[in-house]
Amino acid sequence: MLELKNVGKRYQKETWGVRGVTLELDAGVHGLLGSNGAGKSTLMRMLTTVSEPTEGEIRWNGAVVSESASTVRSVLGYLPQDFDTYPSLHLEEYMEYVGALRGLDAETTSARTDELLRVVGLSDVRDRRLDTFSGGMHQRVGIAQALLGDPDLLVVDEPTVGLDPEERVRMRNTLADTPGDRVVIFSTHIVGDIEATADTVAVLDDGELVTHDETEALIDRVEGRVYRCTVPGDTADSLRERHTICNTVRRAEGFELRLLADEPPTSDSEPVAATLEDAYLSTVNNATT
Amino acid sequence: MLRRDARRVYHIARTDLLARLRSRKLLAFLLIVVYFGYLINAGTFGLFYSADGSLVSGALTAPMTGLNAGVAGSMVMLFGGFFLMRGSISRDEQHGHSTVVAGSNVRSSVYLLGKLGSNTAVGLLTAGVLAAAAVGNHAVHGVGATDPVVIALPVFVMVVPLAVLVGGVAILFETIDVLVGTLGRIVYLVSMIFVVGGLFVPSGTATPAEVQTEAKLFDLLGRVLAHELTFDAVQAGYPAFDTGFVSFGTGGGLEQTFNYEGGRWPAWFFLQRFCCAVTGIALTVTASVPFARFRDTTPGPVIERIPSVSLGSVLSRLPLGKRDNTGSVTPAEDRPRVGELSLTPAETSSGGVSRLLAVELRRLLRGHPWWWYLGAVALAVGPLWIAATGGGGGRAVLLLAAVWPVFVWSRIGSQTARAGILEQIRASNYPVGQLFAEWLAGGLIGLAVTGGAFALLIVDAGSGAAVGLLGVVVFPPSLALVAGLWTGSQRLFEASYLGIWYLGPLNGAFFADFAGVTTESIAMFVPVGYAMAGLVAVLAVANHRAYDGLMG
Repeated sequence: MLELKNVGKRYQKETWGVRGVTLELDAGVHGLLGSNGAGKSTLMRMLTTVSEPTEGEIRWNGAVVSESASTVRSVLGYLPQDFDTYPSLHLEEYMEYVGALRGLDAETTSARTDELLRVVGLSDVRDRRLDTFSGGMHQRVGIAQALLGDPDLLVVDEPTVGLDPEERVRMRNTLADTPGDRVVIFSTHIVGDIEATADTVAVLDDGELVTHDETEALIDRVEGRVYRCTVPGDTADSLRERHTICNTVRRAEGFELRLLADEPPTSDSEPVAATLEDAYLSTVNNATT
Repeated sequence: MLRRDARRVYHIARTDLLARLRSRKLLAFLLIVVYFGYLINAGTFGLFYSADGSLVSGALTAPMTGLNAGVAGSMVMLFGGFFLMRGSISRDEQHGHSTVVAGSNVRSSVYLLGKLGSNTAVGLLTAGVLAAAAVGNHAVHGVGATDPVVIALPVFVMVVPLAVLVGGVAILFETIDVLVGTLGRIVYLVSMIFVVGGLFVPSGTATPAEVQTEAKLFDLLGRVLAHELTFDAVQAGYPAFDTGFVSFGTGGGLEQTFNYEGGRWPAWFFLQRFCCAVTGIALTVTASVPFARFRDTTPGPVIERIPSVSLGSVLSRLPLGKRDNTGSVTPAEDRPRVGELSLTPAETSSGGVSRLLAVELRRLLRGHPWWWYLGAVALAVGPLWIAATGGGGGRAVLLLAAVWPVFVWSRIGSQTARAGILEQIRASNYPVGQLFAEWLAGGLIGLAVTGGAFALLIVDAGSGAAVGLLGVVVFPPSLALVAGLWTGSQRLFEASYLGIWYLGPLNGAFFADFAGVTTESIAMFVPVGYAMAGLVAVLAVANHRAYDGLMG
């Protein structure tokens, strides 16, 4: 289990990237949601021992990470946000490199590389230089290397960026399919990816943890408060001032709005099923107001 | 049309200059320039002659200070300016701006001329800073009245046209694939050593009238000009002066001086500097031919991808090369899901660091052009054969052997510094072990390439030469590691290492002779000093890399 107690990271005297985050994460897939600059990557970097917390404590199965970083490193798989590789290496050589970094023996590295390259569909290009890979192929290399050490703690930061829709779905499935006894932390600002994958969702806003709950429970919080209506332009403006707007589509008859409201905002409003995106917007909006 | 293009050139130049002004690299360069200004006025650096059996420098009058500063500025611009000015195109590629340019209706020549404008502005800035430093220092240390115009004008006349030329060369090199990386930097440096160091400059004695036209044409440093301007003053002060050609560097001093009070500059020099500027512009326009504005700018470290000068990478740019960037190779429906597979359990081993060393060696040695491997083998084995058959030529072989591994060393630190890689390493089981493995791999490659040369040198000069091996094996990979990790680029290492190599092993300045080529450096254990400094720097970086410090 991964525990965070009042974890914070200060960059300058009064500038905190993350502050006061307390979380307990058991086995399962945990989504970390937040807008750009909310502090997701800062938190990820502390979880993966890339940077040290300024305050607070991170524990892995009871051991304090700051006292022994190797307790986390020996069980960690990490896909950084700006994942990069050595361009002159072939894919297979790069996987051997990661295997050495993870302390795997040569046979295990070779066997797991075979298997994982099949999973990400790159077996046929294993002897190609990495600088000939497209952005999507690069990202698939990233997930393969993160899984190479059979990690108990898998941290993936924005793994679906740059992937086409089909690959995005496969990436999500790969994360969801990983055996259930490991902790997977999946950071993104794409709510749909989390909704399709995560057991629990933590929402960060402006460096602070706004909420952490099961995905369904988070959606339940706004169930019955999501409406869809089609209104003329001036009414749309007035509704925007009073409600959280989740979506706007321009139609021939006006604007079709999806919004959060305690009561039907117009006479012809119809309630619709809530999604995680609605829940996320509601959570962030409540946190900032 | 012309007005619109001029406006585009201006804005491309302005934007590029602003990006440079906000980087530490330009600031560091200007600080070096200021230091040069100080050295000139302290009398430790400048023009000097050998006359009447001693070394004679010009008394630091305002004209002499201006001339010294102009030659110093030319030297800084020729050697340092190139390294500073390179990268204006790759900077745009790195940050994704090049795709915006590629998709716009800005012509390639206009875009490159804008970059040249920025390079020229750097030259102006350099000249301005050096001139200001020279004026300020002259006011404190100089002889006679401080005339700012007399001091500053030679600096601008000599340095700015040269900046246009060097800027043009830098742009041209950046548009030709095989010259983008380390090879281009070495080709440039070696060319300049030949041009500046004496290919056309007269050796021995020569009166100004005896100097050949080609020497004036290639007088990039300004030594021929200085000789012509100050010759009469030296002859007036030292009647037995044997017309030896003027030198420039640290050899002089202010114990013996001649008095140069200025004079009319020869017309040929203005014409030559005009030609420099025109050549710089012409090279820039020419560069629009090889410049591939739509070259691969896929996300990631383009700056690292372009410089790979392997035969394969060159061939891959030809229509014959198969370059598949389409993404999926195995159809999605044919791939197993993680849950469907019984994955091999992850077994760890205890020999992680030695395996890291092996993979680091492979990484550093991978992807070089065939001729590099051929040269490395020749340098490793050839000297042993020469030593076995009688020896000779050890110094010359060592000079080359100390440069050859630069292609490998320049990957140390700089490639690893990229955020996406460094984070993987820091989060791995061996964040510090990787650092030492990378450093050690560089040292082992240095040992392999230079070991033969040292064997030959020991045969030639005795066992004392072995001290130099320590400097060559330890210092360069240490410098590469620190400079590469700090800047994320190869350029600082290459510029500083090649500069030290030029001053020390090549020109015999003992304080910079980390390879122990000179007897003084061996006697003073200079190579050991360089090795120790390198080691301390590596330990400092390792301490920074460790999660809670090396001692934690």
